[in-house]
Amino acid sequence: MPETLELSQSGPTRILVVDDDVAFRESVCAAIARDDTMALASQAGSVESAREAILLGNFDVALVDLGLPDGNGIELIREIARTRPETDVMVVTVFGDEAHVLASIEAGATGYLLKRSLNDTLGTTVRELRAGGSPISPVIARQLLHRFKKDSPQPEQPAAVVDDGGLSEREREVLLFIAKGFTVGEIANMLHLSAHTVATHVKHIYRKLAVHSRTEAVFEAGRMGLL
Amino acid sequence: MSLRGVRVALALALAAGLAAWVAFAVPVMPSRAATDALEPPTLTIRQADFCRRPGLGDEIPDVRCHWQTVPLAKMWRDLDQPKLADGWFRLHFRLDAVPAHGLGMYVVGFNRSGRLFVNNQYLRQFGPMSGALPLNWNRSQYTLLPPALLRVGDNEIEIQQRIYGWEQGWLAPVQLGSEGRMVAMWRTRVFWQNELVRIMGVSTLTIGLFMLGVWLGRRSHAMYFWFGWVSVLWAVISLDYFALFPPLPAYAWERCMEAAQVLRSVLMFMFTLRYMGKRWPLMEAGAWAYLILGSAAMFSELLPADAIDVWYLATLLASVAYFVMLVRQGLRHSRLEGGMLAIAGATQIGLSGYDLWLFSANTWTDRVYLTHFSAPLFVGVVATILIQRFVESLNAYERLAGVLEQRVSEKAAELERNYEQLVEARRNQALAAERGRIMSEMHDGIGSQLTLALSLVRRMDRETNPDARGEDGQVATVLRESIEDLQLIIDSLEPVENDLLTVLGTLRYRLQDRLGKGGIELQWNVVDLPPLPMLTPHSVLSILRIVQEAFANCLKHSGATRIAVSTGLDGEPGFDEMAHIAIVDNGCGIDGTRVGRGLENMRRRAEALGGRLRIASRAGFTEVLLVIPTLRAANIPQKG
Repeated sequence: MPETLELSQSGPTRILVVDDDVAFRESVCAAIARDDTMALASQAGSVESAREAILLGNFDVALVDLGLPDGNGIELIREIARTRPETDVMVVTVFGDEAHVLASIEAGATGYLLKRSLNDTLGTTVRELRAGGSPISPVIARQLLHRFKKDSPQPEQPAAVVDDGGLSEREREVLLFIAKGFTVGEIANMLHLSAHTVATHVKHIYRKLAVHSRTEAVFEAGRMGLL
Repeated sequence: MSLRGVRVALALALAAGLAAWVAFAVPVMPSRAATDALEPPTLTIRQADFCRRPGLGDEIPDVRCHWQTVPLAKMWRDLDQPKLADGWFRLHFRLDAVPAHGLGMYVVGFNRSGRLFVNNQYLRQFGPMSGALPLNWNRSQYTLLPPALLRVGDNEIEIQQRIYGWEQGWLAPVQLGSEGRMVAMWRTRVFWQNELVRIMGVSTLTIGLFMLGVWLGRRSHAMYFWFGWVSVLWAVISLDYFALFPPLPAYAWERCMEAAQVLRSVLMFMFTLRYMGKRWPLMEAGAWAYLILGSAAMFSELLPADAIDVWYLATLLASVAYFVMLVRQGLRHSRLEGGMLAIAGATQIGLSGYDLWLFSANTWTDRVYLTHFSAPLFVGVVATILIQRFVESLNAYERLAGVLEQRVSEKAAELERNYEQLVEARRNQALAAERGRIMSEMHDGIGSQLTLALSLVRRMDRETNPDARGEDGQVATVLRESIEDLQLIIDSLEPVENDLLTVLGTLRYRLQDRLGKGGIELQWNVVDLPPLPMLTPHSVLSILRIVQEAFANCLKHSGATRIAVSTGLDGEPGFDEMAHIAIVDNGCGIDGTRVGRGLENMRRRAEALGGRLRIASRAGFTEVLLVIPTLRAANIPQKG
C-alpha cells in the first residue's frame, strides 16, 4: 500500500482522541507528546464535539471510546469510516474482547487499543496501522473465520475468486494460524511472506468484514422494503 | 404356486381328510352278524299287494278293497284327496325258522307317515298320522319285527301309508335280515342322507353368518354380503334333508325349497358380479325377475308341475355361465384361486346336473341326491378366498400402520431433536446475552474504573517519583494485576469453540509485550488438537490461570531466556483421552523456595479439572506439564 506508506512518511500522524474520560485523554495526550511521529489533531469528550472534529477532518487516526455520554462510539466509527475512508479508526477498549472489537470492525475500525497499556503500545500500534497492519487476537481471528464461513453462500467456491463476502485462501490461512496462537512473524515465516504482508492481510480482512456487513445491511434493508 | 398357495392347499387337504374321517368313522356299528350263528338270511321283498280305500281308516282293509299286486318301489298319489290320503301295502314272506332276536326290517324309502302290522298284529307307527306329517322323503326306516309276532312258514307285513294327496307316496323294496346288518345299513344311509347334510348345513350357516358379520363391519364390501347369503341359503336348503317338521306347511315348504334352489343361484350370480368388481343392473334385475316370476308360477300352479324341471335346467345353465366368469376372475388373481374355483364349480355343476336328472325322472330311485355334498367344498373354497383377501388387507393395513407409526416416531424424534436444538440454541443465546451483559458491565463499569484508577495512580507515581521510569509502584501493581485478572476472566468467557490452541494463544497474545520486554523468546510448538468438549468457561479460566502462573514463574524467578509451549494428545478418544500442555523454560530451575502457594494452586486447579500437573526441574530445564481429560468431567466413563 504505497499510499499509506507515503502518508506515514509525510509527517507526524495526526490523532483525534474521542473519550469522555478526561484523565484518559490527558494520558493519551501525554503519550502523543512523548512521541515525535504523532501529533494531537483534536480531542472530544462527546459525540457532538467529535462530529465537529470529524468535519474539520484534520486527522489521520481516530481513537474512539465506545461508551460516550451522548451516544454510541460505534456510530462515530461508522461515520468516520464513511466520510474519511483514508483515515484509520482505532477503538479503545478495556479488555479487547471480541464483542466490542468485532462490532467496531464491522462499523469500520481497523484497529483497537487496550486502555491500560495505551502508554506503552500507542506509538507502535499507530505506526503499524499507518503502515497497513492491524492488531488481531486469536479469539477475534476465530470469530472472523466463523463469521465468513457462516455468511459464505458457496463454501466450495474456488479460492482464487475473491469478492466482498468471502475470504481468500491465504486470508483464511492467516486467520487460522492466528487463531492457533501464532504471531504475525511466525506466520510470515511459515507462509514465506513478509511480516508486513501478513499484517496487511489482517487489515484487509477487517475492511472486508466492514464492507460485508454494510452490504448485508443494505441487502437486509432492501429485503424489508426500506430501500 | 406361491408358498401361501401351498399352505392353503395343505389346509384344504387336511380339512377334507378330517371330514372324510368324521364321515366314515361315525357309521361304523358293531354288528351282531359275526356273533350270531343263527343269523337269518337277508331277503328283499320286491313286490307287494296294494290297495286304496276311500277315506281314512285305521283297520286293515279286507278283500273288498281292490288289492293289486305291484312291484316295489311303488309310487302313488291321490289328487282328489288334496288333504290326507291312505294307501295300504301287504307284503308276503316265508320263514324257515323264527329268529331268536326277531327280524330287522329296513326300508330305503318311505313317504310319509305310516303304521306297521305284522301278521295282522299292530306293531308301530312311523310319525304322526294327523296334523303335519313328517318330512320323510329322504329318510329310510328301520324296525325290529319281534319274534313273538313271527311264525314259521308264511308271514305277512301290512303297512298303512299316509300322505298329502297332492304329493306322492312311495314304498321302496323292503329288506329283512338280522338286526345287526339291517341297523348298520339303516344308520349308514341315515348318516349320508341326513346327518352329514345336517353337519354341512351347520358349517355353511356358520360360515355364512361369519361373512355377514364381516359385511356388517365393512358395508362397502358387498362380496361378503352376497356370499354370506349364499352360504346361509345352503344351510336353509339342507333343512329339507334332515328336518322332520320344517317351520312351514308342507305345500309352502315344498315350493319354498324349489325357490330356494333358484334363489341360491341368483345370490351366487350377484356374488360373482361383485367378485369381478362389476355391476350389470339389467342382468341383475333379470335374475331377480326370473326368481320371483318362477316362484309365483310354481306357487300358483299356473304351470304344469313338470315346468320346474325347465326352471331348474335354465338355472343350471345360467350357473355354468357365471361359474366360468368366476373361474376367469379367480385366474386373474392367482392360478391357485382360479383352480380351486374351477374344481369347486365343476363339482357343484356336475352334482346339480346329476340331481336334476334324478329329479326330472319323477320316479322313486334308490339313489342319493348329491348337490348338497358340493356345498362344503364350494363354500369352503370361496370362504378361504375371501378370508385370504380379508387377511391380506388386514396385513396390508398393519404394514401401512407400521410404516405410518415408524414415520410418526421418526417425525417425533426429529421434532424432539429440533426442540433440543432449539432449547440448546436458546440456552446459548441466553448465555451469550448474559455474557454480553456482564462483559459490558465489566467493560464500562469496574474495568473502566480500575483502568482509570491505574492511570491516576501512575500519574501520581510519576509526579511524586519522576525517577521510577515506568516501573509501577505498589498500588499501581495491585491495580494492574486486578485488571489482568479481570482480563483473564473476560478471556475465559470468550468464544473459543473448544480449541485449546485459541485459549493458549489468547494468553500468549496478552503476555506478548511483557515477554518481549523481559527478553524472553517464546517457541510455539503446538500441534492441532480436536475440539475439546471440556473447554467450558470455567475450565478455560483454570487452564489460563495455571498456564499464566507457569509463565509468571518463568518471568519473575527463573531468569529464563527461552520458553517453549507445546501441546499433545494421547489415550483413547471418548474414553481416557488426555490433552497435554507442556511449558519448558531454560531458566535456573525450581528450587525449594519456589515450591510455594503458586505451584500448589496450580496443582489443585489441575486436579479440579480431572487432570494433573507434573513438574520436572533441574538447572537449565524446567518442564511444567499439564494433563487434562478431553471430555467434560460429567461425561468421563467410570472405569470398573
